[in-house]
Amino acid sequence: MGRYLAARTAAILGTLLIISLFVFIVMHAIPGGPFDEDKMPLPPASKANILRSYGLDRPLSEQYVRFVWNVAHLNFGVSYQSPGESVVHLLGRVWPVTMHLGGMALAIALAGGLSLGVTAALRQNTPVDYLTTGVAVFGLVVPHFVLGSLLILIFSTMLGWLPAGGWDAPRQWILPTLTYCLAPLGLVARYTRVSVLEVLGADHVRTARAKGLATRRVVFRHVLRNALVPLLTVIGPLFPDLLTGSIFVEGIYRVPGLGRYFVTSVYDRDYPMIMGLALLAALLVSVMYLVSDLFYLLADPRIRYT
Amino acid sequence: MSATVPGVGGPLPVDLGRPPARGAGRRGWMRRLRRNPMAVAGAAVVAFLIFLALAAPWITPVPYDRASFGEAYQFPSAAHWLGTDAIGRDFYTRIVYGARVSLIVGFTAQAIALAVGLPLGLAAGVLGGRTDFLIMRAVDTLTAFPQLLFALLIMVVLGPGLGNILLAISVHAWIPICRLTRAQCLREREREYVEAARALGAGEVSVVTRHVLPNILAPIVVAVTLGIPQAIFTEAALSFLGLGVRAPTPSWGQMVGEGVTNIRYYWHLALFPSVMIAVTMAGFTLLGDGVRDVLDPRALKH
Amino acid sequence: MHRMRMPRSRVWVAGLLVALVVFGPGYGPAVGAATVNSVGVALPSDAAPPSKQVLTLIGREGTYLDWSKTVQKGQWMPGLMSDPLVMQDYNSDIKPLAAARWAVSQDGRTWTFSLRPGLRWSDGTPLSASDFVYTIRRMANPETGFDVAWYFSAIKNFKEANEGKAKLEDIGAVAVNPTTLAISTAEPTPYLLMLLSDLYVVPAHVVAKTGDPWSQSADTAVSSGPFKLASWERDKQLVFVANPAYAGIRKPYLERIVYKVGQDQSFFPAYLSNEVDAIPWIYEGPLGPSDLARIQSDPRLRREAHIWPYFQTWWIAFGGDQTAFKDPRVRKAFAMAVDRDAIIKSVLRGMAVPAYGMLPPGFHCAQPARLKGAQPYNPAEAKKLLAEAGYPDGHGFPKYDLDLRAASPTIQAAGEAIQAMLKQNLGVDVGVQNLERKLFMDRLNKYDLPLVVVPWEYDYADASNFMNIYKSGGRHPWSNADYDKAVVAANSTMGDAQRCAMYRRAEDILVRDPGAVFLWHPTVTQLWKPWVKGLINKTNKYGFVSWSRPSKADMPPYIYIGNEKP
Repeated sequence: MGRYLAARTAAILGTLLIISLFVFIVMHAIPGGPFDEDKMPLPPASKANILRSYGLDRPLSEQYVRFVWNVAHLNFGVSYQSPGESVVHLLGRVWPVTMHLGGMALAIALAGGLSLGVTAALRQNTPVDYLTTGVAVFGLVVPHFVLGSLLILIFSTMLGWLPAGGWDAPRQWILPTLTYCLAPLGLVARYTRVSVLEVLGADHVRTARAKGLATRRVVFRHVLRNALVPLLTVIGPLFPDLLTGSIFVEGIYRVPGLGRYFVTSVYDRDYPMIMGLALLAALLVSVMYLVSDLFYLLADPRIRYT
Repeated sequence: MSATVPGVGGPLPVDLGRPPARGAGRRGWMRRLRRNPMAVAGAAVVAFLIFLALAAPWITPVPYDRASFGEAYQFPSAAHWLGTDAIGRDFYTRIVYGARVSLIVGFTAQAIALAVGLPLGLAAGVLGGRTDFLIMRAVDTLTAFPQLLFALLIMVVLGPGLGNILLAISVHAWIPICRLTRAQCLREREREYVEAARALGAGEVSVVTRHVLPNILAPIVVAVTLGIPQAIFTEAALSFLGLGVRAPTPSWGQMVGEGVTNIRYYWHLALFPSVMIAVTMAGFTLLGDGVRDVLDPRALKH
Repeated sequence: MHRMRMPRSRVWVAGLLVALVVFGPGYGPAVGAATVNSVGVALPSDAAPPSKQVLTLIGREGTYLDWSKTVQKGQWMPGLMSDPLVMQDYNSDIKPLAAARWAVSQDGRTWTFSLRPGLRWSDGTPLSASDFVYTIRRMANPETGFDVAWYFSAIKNFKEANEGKAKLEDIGAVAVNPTTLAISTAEPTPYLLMLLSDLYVVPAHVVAKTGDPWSQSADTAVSSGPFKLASWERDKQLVFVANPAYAGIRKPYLERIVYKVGQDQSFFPAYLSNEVDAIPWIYEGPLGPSDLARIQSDPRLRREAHIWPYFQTWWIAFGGDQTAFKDPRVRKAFAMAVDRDAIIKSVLRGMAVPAYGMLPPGFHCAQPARLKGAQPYNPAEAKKLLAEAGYPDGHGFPKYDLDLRAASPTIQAAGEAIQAMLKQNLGVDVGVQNLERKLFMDRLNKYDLPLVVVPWEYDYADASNFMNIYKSGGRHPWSNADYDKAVVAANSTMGDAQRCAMYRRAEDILVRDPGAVFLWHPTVTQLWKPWVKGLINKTNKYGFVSWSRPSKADMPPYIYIGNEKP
């Protein structure tokens, strides 16, 4: 196990390095730099000066090495779109907001999804099953970039019940969380349903029920426990997605989070932010997969890793 | 940061412990299909969409790029069943033709995913050792790459267009197939029948193609089907960001992008493409569920 | 039982109280006594009390609140924190601000400004002419990387210093004494005052110490304007408060301005739910055709919407001699194949007037009627011309893209409209590409884009602002020696009638050549709630009610909140 962990950690670091190199190359391959003129051309002396002050006039290989060296010292540079603010500081400012939103959405998705999924499975092929599955599928298939505008239209503009945006008061949290949680909720519900059905069909469960144990007890003691492990591998990928935010949801609701920076950093050629975001997201995903693989390894000894 | 619905269609990286489906189960599939109304509904939706895509020129009154400036922004009426858009193009026609882009993207992306993911997954799962390690590290690296950022970078460098979108989507689409195939292989190759085959002298390739592959196909087919809505959604999201197919080709995602700003008044411009995306994704999702239920009857029993 | 008689003293007290109630001050309407806010300005009678004099706006966020550092990426409303020498009032006329008076030398090349006495920064330091000199040098300094340095190139040696060919000290801006500033121009520049209305002076003593980030935090954002920065929470909002140290002539009614930050599509919902008092944004991003339709169909919103023709022009620009547009017949064909009225009616929902030339109607030297027939919509003639040029029915015409710059859905639709017209009228296939901003500008500046739709909005109300665009070596490859001659001569002529004649001659060349296909001048729609009052509701000399130049904050000192605000 120790050796396995060490190997995986080394692999993660390797992954981060490869990703950083790839992003670096592609980033600089995009035409247009961060300090290009807008209305009229900049005089060459001006441009040269700016580039020099940001170290962008050095050869690319030197810039990359310098970058890796800085990252090893946990220095990700200063963001171009928020000058004066280091990437680390910026992330520290906006990421907690995104995690807050993502966390709430995840909690509701889990609670709601599990309940819906279990209900659907226990009442398989009845109208209740169809209804709950329908709700789950609805949440999954309505694009959330439309849902956001729709919810604002209904609850803010037409009914006036909730504010149209912002992130200070709890009232402002409701709509963004709702928009964001529906898709994961649907996903969790569907996989819970399948998972529970699987276990319900297993011999030891049928035995328990045949012996007369109440369904509810059976469900909680046997079914959920066995269903949870595969479920974790499905929920796993949700974490990095929800923790890195959605530009669509955060944009329409004016949530001061991380989501928009994925897009604006590319458009603004904010190299330090692009690198920082790519590495952050990559780290989250890698760690998530490591954790879920560990769970799986512990839970099912039939699978052996070479 | 997710351009896509998190994990939709992405199959479980490991299976749920189903034994191989064989024998009597297969013969009863039609019966099982009929008993599963949701799968039937899904299949019907998919068939309808395919019909729309194929029959588009015959079921639409005008070309999809015929601008008619005097008739801009009209609500649904007898003359224009779904209204008109900003430059007077018939919206119904554009919706119907939009099916082509979505279906092409969905099917092609998953075809590429299968063509790349299946062999790599088999190689990793069956051959093991070095091959497995290398392939999985490549998979891990690619997975770690934030999908939206990746697609954005590709599109900014290469420019918009259908081919580039397919590239941006396919780069990530093959990963779930590869992982699933590999996981299935790892399970199967420890089974008795595989050992028996080996003991009887069958070569590795033969073991794979004649014994392992048929037994792992079911979840892979399910995964491919469920990956289609994911691809369609990613295309919609990228088009929404303005990186979609070139005008005047209609794409539902792009129409939603233009439409969502109109949601407060010209609701038809937002509603119909959103509904089509939702229906398409629902159809393929239900179909995928149905395929899973059909190919593995165990899940249907209490 | 006998009744208690009221003691006489109590009767007196009661009578006194009654008298106080009836005649005393502070009871009932305060006749003759106006409320005064925290900076000593008397509020109008229909104004809300000072505690409610808070204006909430919404807009995009920028990097620095310092327009000597960056304008393109800068934060809006630097005029809140800085008084330029002169200002543009709501008629776009020049009025004195930090400068009490000025004089021009005989040869028209030296302007001497006398600063108003007593002006100071919010930290008490007196405002001096050397601050203006510092600001000008900062803008010219190639190290600062000011992105609209070309704007001030009329000042002597400014351009040369910016290119590294002259020293900053050589620039024609000198502090004769702390209250006198002398600015010299290379050529007589009649519109210099207009340029100077955008010179937002910075505090030399702070910037020299703190550097570029000085404008980003309340501790260092020292102000010489009517407001000062109270807080800047990035991604959320900026808050300005009335500056108690302000000694200038435009003391505000408002106590606070809250500027909320967000993306375009969140502005209108915030307005509808009363979370903001006004949307000062003027670009077509936040209010799409649907929103405009909704405003037009809702009587309440119609009253709150303020619509006026904006000094902005949209046109189609061509690539250079390496493209098929080298042939003027091709350009003419394109000009006659585009039906601008149809685009305005359909895509723009009538929110624009057709553009026949570069200068918008009502603008300095503009005479649009003169050019009305110069680029007519005539598909038959267009087809003929294209055939003459060697592309009958569009056969053999190279496949170009019509490129747009980070276009909103409205402009994207306009691009598709043009695409459809070119296809239907000429048989020419163009693709529509919506390029993101940097890609677009990168290629445009290299003259690498064959066909684009671009806008230009005015920075100051002088014809030179528009006409300079098509000078050779500018933004577009088209160039014409006669045009250059006319514009350069007009730029340094002092007599207005003469200047306008020269600009019009140049415009004729541009339109008839054609150097560009002129499309439309948009009308802009702003929204502000009925309780936003003051100069903002006064009709200006052009005949409309507007909050012009919202990005520069000309209006806020003259706005107050009415007492009907809920």
